[in-house]
Parts: sequence; structure tokens; C-alpha cells
Amino acid sequence: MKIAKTKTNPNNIMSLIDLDNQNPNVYKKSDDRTITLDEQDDNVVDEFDRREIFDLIRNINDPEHPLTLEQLHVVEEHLIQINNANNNILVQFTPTIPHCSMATLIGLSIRVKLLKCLPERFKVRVQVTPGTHNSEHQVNKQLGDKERVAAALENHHLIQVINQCIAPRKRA
Amino acid sequence: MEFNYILNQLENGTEETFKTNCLLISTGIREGKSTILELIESLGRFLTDASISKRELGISILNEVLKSIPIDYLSTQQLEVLVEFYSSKFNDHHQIFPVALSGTLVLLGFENFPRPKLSHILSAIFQHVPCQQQQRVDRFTIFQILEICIKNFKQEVHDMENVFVCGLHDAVDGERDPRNLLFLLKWMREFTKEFKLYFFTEKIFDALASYFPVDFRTPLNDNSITREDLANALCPCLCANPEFGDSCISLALEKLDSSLEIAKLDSLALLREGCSTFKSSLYMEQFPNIWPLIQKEVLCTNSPTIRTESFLTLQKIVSKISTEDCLGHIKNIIDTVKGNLLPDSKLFQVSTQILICTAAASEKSCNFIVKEILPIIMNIYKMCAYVDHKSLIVQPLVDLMKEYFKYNKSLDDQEVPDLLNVPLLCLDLLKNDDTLKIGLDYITVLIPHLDSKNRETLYSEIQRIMFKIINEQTMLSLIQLLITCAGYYPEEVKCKIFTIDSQSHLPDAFLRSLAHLVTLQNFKDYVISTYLELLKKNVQSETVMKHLRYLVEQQRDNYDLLRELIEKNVLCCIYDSYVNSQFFETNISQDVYTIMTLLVALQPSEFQSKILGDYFERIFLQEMNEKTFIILYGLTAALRREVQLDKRVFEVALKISETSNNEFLVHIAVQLLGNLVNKIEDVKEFLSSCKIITTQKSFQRACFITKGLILRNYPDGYGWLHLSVRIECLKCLTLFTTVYPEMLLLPYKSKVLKQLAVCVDDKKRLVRKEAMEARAFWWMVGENV
Repeated sequence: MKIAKTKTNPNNIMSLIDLDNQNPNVYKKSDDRTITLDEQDDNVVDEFDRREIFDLIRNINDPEHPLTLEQLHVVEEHLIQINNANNNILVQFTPTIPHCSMATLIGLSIRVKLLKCLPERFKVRVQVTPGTHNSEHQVNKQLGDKERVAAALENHHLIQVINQCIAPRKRA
Repeated sequence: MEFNYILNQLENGTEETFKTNCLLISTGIREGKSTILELIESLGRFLTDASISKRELGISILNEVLKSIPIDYLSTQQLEVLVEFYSSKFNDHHQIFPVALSGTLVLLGFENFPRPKLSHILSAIFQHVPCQQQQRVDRFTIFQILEICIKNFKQEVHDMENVFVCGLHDAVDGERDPRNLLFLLKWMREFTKEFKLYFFTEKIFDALASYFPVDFRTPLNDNSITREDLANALCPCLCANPEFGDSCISLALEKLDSSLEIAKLDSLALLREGCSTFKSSLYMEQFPNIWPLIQKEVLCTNSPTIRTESFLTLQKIVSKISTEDCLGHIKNIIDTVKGNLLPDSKLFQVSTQILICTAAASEKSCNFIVKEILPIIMNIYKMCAYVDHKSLIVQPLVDLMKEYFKYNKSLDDQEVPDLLNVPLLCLDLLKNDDTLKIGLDYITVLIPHLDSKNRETLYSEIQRIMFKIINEQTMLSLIQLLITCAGYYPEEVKCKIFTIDSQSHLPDAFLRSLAHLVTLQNFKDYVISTYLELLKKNVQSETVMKHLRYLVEQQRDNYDLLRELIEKNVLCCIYDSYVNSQFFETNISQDVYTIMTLLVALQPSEFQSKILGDYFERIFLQEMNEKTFIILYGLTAALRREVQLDKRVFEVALKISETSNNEFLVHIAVQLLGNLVNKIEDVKEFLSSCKIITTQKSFQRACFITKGLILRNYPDGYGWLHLSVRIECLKCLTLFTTVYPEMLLLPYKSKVLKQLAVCVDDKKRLVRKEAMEARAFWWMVGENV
């Protein structure tokens, strides 16, 4: 299993391995989307847009830090491309440091989250932003391989870690 | 017909071809192409072969062929030959037994079976086949053969005398397989009951008794046979033959004395079952042994089941011996428990239960116990100083009375003068607040038997109690008492209790019980007029409405009564009283519209139109306020379809649903709207006037309108599944995951996720957002996080 590089007890994942990036930059969270009049009219059809996809993944937790991917600028709205007509979505994400060993796990979390939330008609690709990771090609290949993703999701330990990352937060 | 060819095939063939080939032969025989004789001749070389397995094959071919021949096809003569043949096979090698047994079973099914030959073949089996040394399946075949003999060959079995009984005993004795045993027990009862057992009575009983009490635990993966199945089948077998009596009761008593709970329960059941076949003299004789054991169980056990079963058994046995001179035994029971009859004794309750259960057994026992025990309890009551003790003492007394009245009509008994004092004790309890409820309950039992003097006292007590403030439980007891009382003495109750001057303030209990009495013919007019008068005078109208609502709800299908109420102008009285009341209160408003809705609902459409005509003018004459709107709702909520409605009703409902700040009113208004949408002719026009912006109120309205539309199957109904309706539903789904335990959610997980997969592609982004959120939460149900 190539994807699950660290075969550790997921509950102790923080204590067992050294943090790759101990001091990441933390950015501000974007505001909630404002609701337009058109959105309230039941007769108008709303297309999927990049903000909608962004809203889905921005709250995913970083596996290492108690921060969201948005706060670390791992995902950004302008790095999402969506084509409603062709049912295509491309999400690019930026690891905090070029040698980040968590890159695959983060990519996998994004993919799983979108897989679970989006309609089946969309074909979702998740990639590392070009030039931001040492083994960019390898990570992209792993994330793009359907078989490997499916196999990874059968892994009990791995799915537990991913679930921790994408677990929805209860609203007050 | 070419047998040899088929037989050769059979010899070398596989399991699958075996049946088809046999069927081929039997079809040939049935169609007359060949005879059974020819078959046997051709089979000859198998049947006489030196190899056992060849002989076995030969017989199984014959079995298979016989199975598929019609049961009336073979003649007695032919069958005689076959019986002779099969009988001789039991002399053969033991490996042949299984096929020979199944062949015998098939033969017994033929219509022309040669009856005189039965003993011949059975003797052969009994003599040569040791049943308990055979495989389970073969034992089962033997039991099937025996069952058929017992059911279809009664005379022949009789004629075999003790040979059959002996053979059966040997075959059955020691059976260990639960499936076989259950099958066996099913017909053993018939056998032991109908056939003479000769000197095997004891042996057969012992064979059966060895299973008692059944100790069998169903294997976990097998839910076919339970211990109870076996126990329930065994018990009737042990009691089937009157000659089993002595041994059976000794067996039950021996096992009752053990410490195992199932042994006790089975023994009690056995003692009860025995009552149906054994002689009463036997129980008389054994009673001195039975009573101490039952007494021990009742007084000492911790298990409520054993206690109840013991009571049942005691009652059954006492009832059984009541045909004999049993008073000595009952005296014995009384003497045993008499010492416990003090209210602070730990065993007081159980002891009284024993007495009551004995009294319930028969008239003889009941009268005897009343005569013996009543004076004792009366004495204790007199000596008793504490109030709570008093009620404790009166309870068994009343229970005893219940039994007593099953056999006696009056309390007037020369032998037991104390009987007349029982009502006095109950009336005494009414004087104290702590024992009031119990007193009311007890006196309700005694009502049919009260003499006029006691009734006078009771009526004045009731009048007094009505003015007291009592709790809900007591109130219910009081009402029950009044209903019973009014059923037996309608006139008296009317003039002695319901005479309170209507000028004065009427107690709640009074008004409340009226609602229950309306079904009694003598009371109907009185109830209606009392309620109406109060409404007209506008006194205590809130209480009246509350009880009137109860009345109407209880009588919602009683068309005549509802019609009478309307004709006596109830609607008008409610209208006036309600509109003139000072405040707008939710409770009263609910009462008002419920009464009105139920009154109107059952009427025919012309009459409904007439009612509407009468009231609409009054309602719309003045400015619409909360109260008139409630009345409007009450009148229109349950109309028939044909009734034409004034357009103004929509306008009012629509306006209130939009403008009112009172949640209750808005709720009523939207319900009315939904209701109207379901019925009116011109829905389109109506919908166009109310399809407007999303607000919290209009959400509620949309729900009800949508419901109305969908219920009438309106083509555009689902289009009304408003944006906000969808959003709220999804929010609700999300909320489920946080409030309910996973255990409850899991069964729905896949169904919900499947449905949500559609919702996440909704045309509205706001809906999608909620759907995605809901999906994210539902994915996590049952997942390890």
C-alpha cells in the first residue's frame, strides 16, 4: 500500500511522527457566502460554481495541525476549476512545504469529501498545484488512480484518519 | 416393457437418474404396459443377489416405484404378496432394515392394505429390528409406522393385545433425539388414552416419566424445537391415562420439591393438567401432601411466575375436589394461614391471596371461606387503629365479596350476619382523605348489593366529596362510581345526587361526570339542558366547554346525539359564550373549535350549508377578530366536499396567516388554508393569490397547502414542495444524526444516503448545501472517528 506511508495508530499520529512543518503560516478565513435574491427564487436554476466546491473542502482539517485547509492556504478558491457542461471538476491543492509527507493524505481527504458530497455525475480530479511539491508527479499519479484510491479506502486505519479530517462540525 | 434395460441403467446410474428411471417404470405400470409382478420378476436377480448392496438397491427401486403408484392401484392380493416379501426382509442383514422400513411405511399407505397381515409385519419388525440401535432417520420411520397403525388400524392394534404394547414400549423407551421425541409425544397421548396397556401401564409411564421435567436447551443455531415445545407435549401424555394417576401425582410432588425452577413450573402444570383426567378422589387423598408443597412455594418463592402458577394450581385442585367432601381440606388451608391475618404481618397479603384464590375455586369453597374468614377480618378491623392498615384490611374483604357475588345475590345471610357490615366498612373509608380513593373503588364493587339505607349514606357522602378538591386518580374513581351507580339506580341518582341547585357554583366533579352519563337514556336530557343553561348564563362556561368537548369526542360517531345537540342550539350557545368571554385563551379556543368541528362533521351537506348560512352573516357582520376566526375555523374545518364556501373565508385565513403575531392563530389559519385548498373548485386562482416570497410564516403555510394539494392529487402539487420546505427537511435529517443514537440511525443509513444523492443535485444551491451537509453527517453514522 503505497498511499498509506505511515502505518501508525491513527489516534497517536501526532505524537509518533515528527511534524513536517512545525510552524506553518496561518491565514484568515473567508467570510460565509452571501445569499442572493436569485438563490432564494425557486424558479431560477443555480449552476455549481467554484465557491460552492471551495465551501465543501475549506473546512477539512489538516492531519497535522488543528487548523483547516483554508487557514493554511492548502486549498484556495482560484485553484478550483469547474465545467458544468462536461461535469468536470479539477481541484489543485498546495502543500505547506515542498517535502510534506502528508500531501497524499490531504489529497485523498479532499477526494473522499467531494466523492461523498457531490452528485455522481461529476468527474473529480485532485492534483498538487504545479511546482509546489518535490514528488508532485508521484502524488498526482496516486490520487488519479481510481484503483489505488479504492484500495486505500478499504484500509481500516487510513479511513479512520481521513474520517477525522473530513468529519463535519456540528452547528451550534 | 423393457425392464432389463432400465434396471441396468439403474444399477450403474447416479443419484439423479435414479428417480427419473423409477418414475419411468411406475408410469409404465400405471399405464398398463407392464405389471408389478413383471417388475418383481425382473428385479429377482437383484433381490436374490449375494451382495448386500445389490439387494438394498433392488428394494429401494421397488420402494421408489411403489411411492409413485396411486394408492388405490394395487389389489389386496398383490399387496398381500408384497407384505409377505417385506416381512421376510426383516430377517435379512441389518443393512437392509432402513429400506425395508421405508417400504413398509409406503405399503401402509395403500388403500387395499391387507388388514389381517398387519400383525404379521409388525411382529417381524418388533422381533428383528432393535429400534433404539437404528439411525435417527430409521427410528423416525419406525415411529411413523407406529403412528399410522394407531391412527388407521385401531381394531388390528387392539387385536394384537400386549404384543403391540410391548413392541411399542421397547421401540420408544430411551429415545434421545428431540425431533423424534416431539413427534412421538404427539401421538403417545392418544395411544395411552385409547388403548389398553395391559401390564405395561407402569413401564410405559416410566418411559415417559424419565423425561420429566424436560431439561433441554435449544442449540443456538437451531430454532426449531424448544424446551417448552417438549414440555407442553409431555405433560398431556403423562396425564392421558387415568391409571397413571397415582404415579403421576407422586412424580409431580417429588419434582415440585426440587430446587429447579423449571421442575417446579412443570410439576405445577402437571398437577393442573391431571385435573382433567384423574379422579377427584385421588386428589382428595393426595391433598394433605399437595397443600404443604404449594403453601411453601407461595409463601417462600421469589419468582412471581411460580407464585402465580401456584395460585392457579391451588384454585384448579380445590375446584376439582369440591365435588367431594372437601371442607376438611379447606379448613386445613384456613388454619394454616389464619395466623398471618394481621395487617403488620409480612405474610398478610400472600395469605389473603391464598384465601381468595381458594374461594374463587367453587361455590362450596367460597361460601365456606366467607363464613369462616369474615368474622376474623371484621374483628381485626375493629381492633385496628391505623388508617392505612384499615384500607389494607378492607381490600381482601372486597376481593372476597367479588367472589361471593358470583354465587350469591344478596348480602343477607343468616349464617354470616357480618356480611351486612361490609358496606359500612367501605363507607367508613370514604370519611378519611387518605383512604378516599380506595373506598370509592371498593364501594363500586358492592353497588349492586347495597341496601337502601346504605345507598342513602353513599349519596350524601358523594355529594360531600364532590365539593372537595380531590386528585385526578380519586376523581376518576368517583366518576366510575357514579357511572356504575347511575346504571343500577338511575332514578335515585338523578334525584339524590344531581339535585344541586344550579344557581350555586357547580363542582367540577359534578360537571365532569355528566359528560360520562350522557349515554344513559334517563340522563341525556338532563345533561344537555344543564350544560346549555350554564353556557347561556355564561357561568363556569370554561369548565363546561372542557367537558362538552370530552362528551363530543367520546360520542363523535353518535349521529343522533350530535344532531340533537345542534338542534338544541349548542352551537349558538358556544358562540355567544365564547365571543363574550373576556380573554383569548388557547385552551378554550381549542375546546371551542374541536366541539364545533365534531358537531358539524357528521351532518349531511345540506344541513352543513344551512349552518354556515346561519352563522356566516353573524361572523362577517362585525370586524374579524381572533375569536370569530376560531369559530369560523370550527365551522369550516370538517365540511363535506359539496358544501360551497364563501370566498371571504380564504381571504380571512390568508390575511391572518400573513399578519398575525400569534403563533397559535397562524397555525390554525394555515391548517384551514391547506384544508380549503384540498376541497375548493378553483384552486388556480387561489394559488396565484398566495404564492409569494419566503418568510418563516409562509413556510408553515406552504407545508399545509402542499399537503392539501397532494392529498387531492393536484397536478402541480409537488411543485409546491417549496425551496424552504426542502431546506427544512434536509436540516431535519441532519439534526437526526445529532439527537438520535447511532443504533437507531444505522438501519436507515443506506436509504437516506441514496435519497440524498438525488438532493445534492438539486437546482437550488441553498438546498444542495443542506443536502451535502446532511450527507456528510449521515456518512459518519456508524463510522469510527
